[in-house]
Amino acid sequence: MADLTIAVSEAVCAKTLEVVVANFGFEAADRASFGSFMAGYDGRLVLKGGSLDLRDDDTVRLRELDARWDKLQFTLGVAIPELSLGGGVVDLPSGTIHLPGVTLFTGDPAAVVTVDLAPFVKHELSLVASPLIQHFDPATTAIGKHCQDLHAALDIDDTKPQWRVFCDPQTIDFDLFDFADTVGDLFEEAFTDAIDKLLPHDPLHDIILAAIGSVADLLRTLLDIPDDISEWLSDLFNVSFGVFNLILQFVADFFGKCISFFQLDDPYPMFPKTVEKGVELPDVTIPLEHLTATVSDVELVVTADIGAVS
Amino acid sequence: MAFTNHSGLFAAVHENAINTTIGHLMRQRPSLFNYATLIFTQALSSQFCMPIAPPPGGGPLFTVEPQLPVLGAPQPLGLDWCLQLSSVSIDLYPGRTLTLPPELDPIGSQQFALHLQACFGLACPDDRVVENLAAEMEAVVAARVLGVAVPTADVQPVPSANVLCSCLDLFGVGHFEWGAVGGIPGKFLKTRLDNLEIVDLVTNPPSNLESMLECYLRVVLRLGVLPRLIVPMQSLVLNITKMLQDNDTSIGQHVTLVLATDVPNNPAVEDDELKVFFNLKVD
Repeated sequence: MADLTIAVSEAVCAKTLEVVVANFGFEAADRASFGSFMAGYDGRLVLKGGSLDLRDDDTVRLRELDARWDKLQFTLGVAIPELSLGGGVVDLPSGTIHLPGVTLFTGDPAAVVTVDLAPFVKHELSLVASPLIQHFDPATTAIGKHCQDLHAALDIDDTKPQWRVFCDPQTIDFDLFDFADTVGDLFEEAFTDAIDKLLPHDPLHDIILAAIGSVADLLRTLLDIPDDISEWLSDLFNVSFGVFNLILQFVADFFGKCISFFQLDDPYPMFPKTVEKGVELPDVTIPLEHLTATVSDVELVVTADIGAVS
Repeated sequence: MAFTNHSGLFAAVHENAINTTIGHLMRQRPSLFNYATLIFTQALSSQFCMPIAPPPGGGPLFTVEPQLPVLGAPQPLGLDWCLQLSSVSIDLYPGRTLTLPPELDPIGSQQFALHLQACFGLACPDDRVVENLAAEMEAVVAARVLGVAVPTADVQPVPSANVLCSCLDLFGVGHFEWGAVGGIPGKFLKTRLDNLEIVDLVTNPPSNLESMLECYLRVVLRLGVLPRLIVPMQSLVLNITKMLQDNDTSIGQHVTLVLATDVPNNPAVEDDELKVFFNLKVD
């Protein structure tokens, strides 16, 4: 029996995913000038849906996590030199007349076009991964050069022994353009707008909207069948299908085994340093041994032992 | 059977882990377990009842305490002493780690047993030193009787190179329970002492000394120590939202880990483990 045991049920894992999905938000905006041209983008990414299954083969399966853009605006602008037409002063015997004039292309840049691609760009991620635990010892654990560079860039401390928990991806299915959801959403929005304009808000209106929603869901399901088959095959053969997914798998393998999402110092500082009666007492550390993580279809179990007193 | 049959999250600590952690604490912070007068840093450093290994990370060997006063002395005199907790260990139900005295064995369901070995050492002065000091004390008394002003003095140590030691093994049995604390809303986790026994305190002829000591320790534990260990239920709620905020991540939901209420015992003391059951709550 292990010294320490922590178990997390599948329901808590699923609830945790819901919390992450509800609170995740990624915003990016930038603008750059290239002489007479400028380009910019402004986007906000949110997550929707997704489900998490724990499985008997020590893996966790994330299914169909949607990434949606609340806005995804691309802007292009052209700078045109200012052009003044008319104007000037005419001297007459009866006095001076100021002629009307107009200045064109005063904006900066003069002509701007912004398109919002949010309704057309939707992503979906499915993956199978397993927790991978490694004891990192600066003296003996080898890290590749690229991983070392990444650690240096991210200020990851590689000077002390640690237990590191990685997410080791087995298969990845990432749809850069989630065709099924994009078509389904466009269909639903178009028909909902039309019904809103045609019918007053009464029970019939609501029934028709519900029907449109069901049809849209059916459409999404039908259009998603090829992707579902692809995910199923990936899972069956434990390999990512498609060139893009293979590249992604390669990248994820690198990051999955280079960047840990959780780490524990070993020995672990159990009681922090303190000062008592003016005397500084150093922190009390305990060595951690045999840190393991196992996944069954009902729970994720993490166990560890505490090393003996030396 | 799955660990999480009765709750969303389960955590357990084996008694070996508790005892090993206590061992690390004793090794690295011995001043929590050893108390002595200042002279034990110098002349009496080799006279501890149990030798203390220097902690690997540095730090004091013991907590410095004042000398034991010589009651009634006309000038303040102090005897040097040391008190060492040389062994502290815990045994959780069903209890196979400790060999309990017959009075406590076996422990019942949901109970835990505690073993403390404490050694007390007294620096006992020899007769010559006492005679010399007695002459000083007589001189002080004589001066006072004759009305001569005697300046007040600091505590004068009674020198000694000989430390007499005596060790006691103390066993206790207790359990955890939830209950109210008068006038304060909410539930509190309380540590209760069920029984206590001192082993091998041999007196000749047999007397009430052991019972008196046990009675005193029982009262000290029940009234002086255990009330300080009560834990309000709300402090056992882990506020995940705040923990994330402390790590510069804010979320719009209130996420907490709360103690599960639909398990018969929480915390549970069973299978040589201390088990705690939590549920995830999202508001």
